[in-house]
Amino acid sequence: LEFYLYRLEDVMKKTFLISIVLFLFFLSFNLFAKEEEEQKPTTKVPEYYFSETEFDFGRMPPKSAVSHAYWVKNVGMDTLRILSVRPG
Amino acid sequence: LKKKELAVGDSTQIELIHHASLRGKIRKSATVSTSDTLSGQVRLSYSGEIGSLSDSTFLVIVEPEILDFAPKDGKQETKLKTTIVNNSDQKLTLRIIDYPEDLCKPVLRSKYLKPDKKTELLVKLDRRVKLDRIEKSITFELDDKNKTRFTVPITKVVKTKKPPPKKISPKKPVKKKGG
Repeated sequence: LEFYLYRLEDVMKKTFLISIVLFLFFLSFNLFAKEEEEQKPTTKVPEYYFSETEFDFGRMPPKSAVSHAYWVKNVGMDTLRILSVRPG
Repeated sequence: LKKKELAVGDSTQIELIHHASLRGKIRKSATVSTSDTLSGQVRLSYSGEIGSLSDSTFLVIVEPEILDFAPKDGKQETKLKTTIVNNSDQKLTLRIIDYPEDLCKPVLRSKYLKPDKKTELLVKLDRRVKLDRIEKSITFELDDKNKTRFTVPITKVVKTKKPPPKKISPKKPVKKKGG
């Protein structure tokens, strides 16, 4: 009986130690995640993304009209407004 | 510009149209101003060379140079084609790189072109398109070392007939009463 009691005490000690290590690990992980969250900007801003900004038509005939469409996407966190498109 | 306001994740097209007049190389740009507080403005640019597409000194000869969908004798064409002839001594592969998706779907009869052989670029207008004015184009690229590009304009201008001027009848003299 004494032997079994000794074994039980040993197992309990080990379990206790493991649980403390796990607790500390999760605590530190949680603190790190919170720190990261604090670093993120809190204001919502729009952000554009153009799939291309240059296009080469190559050879084109005179006295004609050619066109190309550029795609723009709002990859930000707020509504993107296109205020103007001006030549030059 | 189809939309001026883009919700989060939304996208739109900004179309630049160039009216080719003088021959020679061109390089133009347009500045887009947005509400993006970090970058704000972006410059879109395009380049090209204005000159005949049926020039015999080029790798390919394109005829007709312009696909004109304007009604002829009151009949509206919805399908047009242009012929592309391999004017070089090398085997060429053609690839359509740009076309107006909302207007038509161009088809190359054959994308492989042996020397002196020809192929056709077929353009069929979308039935839903009921525009009186079209200024679009199709750009294709060759697989030569310079990746030479050619742009075939698609045009349509419907000339509306002006109503005949109203005949102005001369004013009748007003008879004075009494007198």
